Formats: sequence, C-alpha cells, structure tokens
Amino acid sequence: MTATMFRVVVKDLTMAYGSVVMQRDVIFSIQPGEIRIIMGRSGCGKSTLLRCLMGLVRPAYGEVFYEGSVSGRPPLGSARLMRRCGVLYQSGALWSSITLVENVAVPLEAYRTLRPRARRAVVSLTLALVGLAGCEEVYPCERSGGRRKRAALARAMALDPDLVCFDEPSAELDPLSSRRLDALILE
Amino acid sequence: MRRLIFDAHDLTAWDSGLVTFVREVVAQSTSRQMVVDQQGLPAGVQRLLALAAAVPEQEAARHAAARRPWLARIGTAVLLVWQGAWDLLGFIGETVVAGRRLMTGKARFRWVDLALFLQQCGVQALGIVTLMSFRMGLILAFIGAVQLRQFGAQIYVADLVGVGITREMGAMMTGVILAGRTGAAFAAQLGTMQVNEEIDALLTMGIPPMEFLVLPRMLALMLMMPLLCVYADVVGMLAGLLVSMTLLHTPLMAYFNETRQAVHLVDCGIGVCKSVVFGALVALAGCLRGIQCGRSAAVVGAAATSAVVTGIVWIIASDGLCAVMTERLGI
Repeated sequence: MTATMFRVVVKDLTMAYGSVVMQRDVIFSIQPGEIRIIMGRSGCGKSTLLRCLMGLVRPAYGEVFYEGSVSGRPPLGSARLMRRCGVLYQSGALWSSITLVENVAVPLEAYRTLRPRARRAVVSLTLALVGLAGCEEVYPCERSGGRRKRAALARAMALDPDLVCFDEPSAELDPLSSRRLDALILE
Repeated sequence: MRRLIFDAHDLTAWDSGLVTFVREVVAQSTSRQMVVDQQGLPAGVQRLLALAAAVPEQEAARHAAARRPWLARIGTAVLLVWQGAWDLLGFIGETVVAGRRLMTGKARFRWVDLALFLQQCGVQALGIVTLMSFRMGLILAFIGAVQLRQFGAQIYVADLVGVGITREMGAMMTGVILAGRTGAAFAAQLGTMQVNEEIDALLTMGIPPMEFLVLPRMLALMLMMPLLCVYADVVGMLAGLLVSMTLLHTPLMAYFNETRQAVHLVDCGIGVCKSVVFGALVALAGCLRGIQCGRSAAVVGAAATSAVVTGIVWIIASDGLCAVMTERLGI
C-alpha cells in the first residue's frame, strides 16, 4: 500500500435523530497512517458517527472534511472521494445475490479498467490475503459470519483505499475469529 | 412498619420468579421510606438485584402512549403525503438520470443482472399469466354468451373477447399479476438489502443504487410486459374460442374470422403500449417501496405489501387516463 496523504477532519459535529441528540460538538481528526478507535456504550452513536463520516446521513450541525489527494465533503455521489474510502459494516453487508468473487469485483469493475482475467487475478489475490482462497464461487449465505466478515474486508480493501472504517469488526464473531480479524486489519 | 427483613433460611431452591418478586417488594418498600435488609436473601439473589440496579433507568427511554389531538394527526398525515409525493418525484428524476446514463453507456449496470430479471419477470411468470388470462377469457366469453344468445348474436362473443382482452384486460390483468408477483419481490429484495446495509455499501463505494439495482429491474419489466401481454391476449382469446365451440357450437373458422374482423391493429397497439407503461409503474412502485424501507425485518413485509397496493393503484389510474386519451383521440 502506498503512503497516504489523506486526512479526515471532524468539526463541531452534532448528530441527532429527530429531537434526540446522539452526540454534540464532536471534534477530532484522523491523520495519515493513524488508527483511531472510537468506543462507547450501546446506542451512544458510534455507527451514526461512521455514517456521518461516509456521508450516509447529514449531521444536525458541524461538518466532516477530507483533505489530501482528494478533498471535499463526503456527500453521496462524490465517487472520486468515496472510492478512496472503504467500509467494513457490522454485518459485512455483502451483496447476497452474488458470489464472493463478484462482491469483491464490483468496485474493481466500477473504477479500474482491468481486463476480466486481470481483474479475476486481483480478486483471487485479495481473497487469498484474507484467508478465503478457494471460496470465490460461494455465496455469502453459504459461509460463516467470520468468513463473511473477511470477504467484506477484502471488498473494502479492493481499491487500496486511503481510509478504511470498521463498524464493530468483532461483532457476531467468536473470540478466535475476532482475534484473527484484528490481526488482519492491523496487517 | 419501618424495616423489612428477608428470611430465606428454609429456602431450598429459587429462580428468576423470586428475584422479580423481591425487586417489586423492594421498590414498593422504598417508595414508602422503609429500610430493606436483604442480608437474609441467598447470595445469588442479592447479586442479581445489585446487577439490575447497577444501571439507572433512562428517563427518556419510555415513550408515553399519548393520544395526539385529531388536528395534529391530520397535519402529520398531510405532511407525510407531501413528503411521499416529493420522494416519488425525486425517485422518478433519479430514474430518468440513470436511464440517460445507460443510453450513453456510463451507467454502472450489470447485464447479467438484467438477464436474470428477464427470466424472473418473463419466463417464470408464464404459468400464472396463463392461468389468469385463460380464466379471464373463459369468464368474458361465458358472460357474453349467456346474454348474446338471447338475441341470436352469439357470434359476437368473439368480438367481446377479442377487443376486450387485447385493448384492456390483457394488459391490465398482466400488470396486476406482476404487481403482486414481481413488484412485491422487488420491494422485498431491496428492502432486505436496506436492512442488511447492502445499499449503504453501494453508496459508500460511489455506485448509484439507481443504476445498479433499479435500472435492471425496470428494464426487465418494461421488456417482458409487452411479450407477456401478447401471450395473455392469445391465451384469453383461445379460452373464448373454447367456450364458443363447446357452449355455443360456433365453428372454429367462424370464430377466427369474426375475431379477425373485430380486432384491429390499433387495439393490439393500445394494449401493448399500456403494458409497457404498466411494467414501468410496477417496477417503480416495487423499487421505490424497497429503497424507502426501514431497518427492521418487520418493515420489509410492509414494504412488499405497499408495493403491491401502490402498483395496482397506479395501474388503475393510468388505465383510466389512457381510456380518456384514446377517447379524445378517437382511437
């Protein structure tokens, strides 16, 4: 992976659902090469914060700004910005109607001009890196939660993103699988 | 009484029922400013009671089921309808933009998905379309036969069935069938994707769900509906032929010639054009309700139901509009 010049700045972020305020005046930044862990009790707004970072929800107040090789705010539709980010959702969020190899191939088809053979080679390598070699043609429902998470990680990493967000990566995993996934993430 | 003491020395076994009872007693006693001595309770019960009391109750978590004034409810309903209309307009706009991107070759569109939906919408619907259109032809012919036979005009059953099915019933019944079958399936598929955050995953990759999910479905229905409509027309007319031959003893060629004279190309064209519109409306309703779906499993069912109802209502409304237009145009 290349050195990143990407920085995320969160300023005075207030998140609310209707009249219920989840978090108020959140300020932090994520520097290149940094691992930032956000912890909190259930229902405190961690997933909402991630959705604000990705531009999936608009905050009630404040802003999120990306600085670096690509700059701007993350509203949806800013493909140039969003392709530099990867997200591993709590449930994996693999597309259930297509196989694991097709799941990982979707971002490559959208943003890379690779020939089918080259694309398949990249996908196979990516799946092998997360320990899923040989599982290309299976559907997500045919694999355990841990393997689905790893496949989702492969998809999140497919475009060599500058920023990767993990929403409760250990959720629904046994301690062993959780430890393996943590090691994979650090790698 | 100022002090409450528990004595559980003779207690041989206990379960959560005891814990629940003691908790209620403690709550009642505390509200009466009594001192509660829990030392006599089993250690396990004391630990469980301490655990239950560890996190204070969140005051804002309880929602009071207050009945709002009728004016407020009317206002909320109006706002919901307004928001729904606004969302629909936005959805139609995004669909048009996605369609334009498809025509210029820029849409993020999987042709293999289109092939799959063509099979699901078309080939796999043949059975139910056959059943419904055959029955419809039978009913039309039978009702016509009973009435027209009184006047010796039973040959005109061919006209009734032919014009009625090609111009109106073929397209409408096929549309209603696909609204219930395919529209609900689309809503359930997209609703489940919404629950599983699969649509969020598309958005965060900068891949528009309209192009990736909605466009193949809409295109498949708009391509398959006219074919299914023509098929339904043929099956319906064959059913009419069966009734005429068996009940009215009409010769085959007589029925065929009468149908050929009664049914014009315009009638078939109107039916086919309507079917294309109905296909688009069914796909729109199904995909709209699916994407609007909430984040729980219960709302997926509601979305599927809503897709069916919305699709059928739109079909009926647009059919009425078509009837007015064709009447004005004199066709």
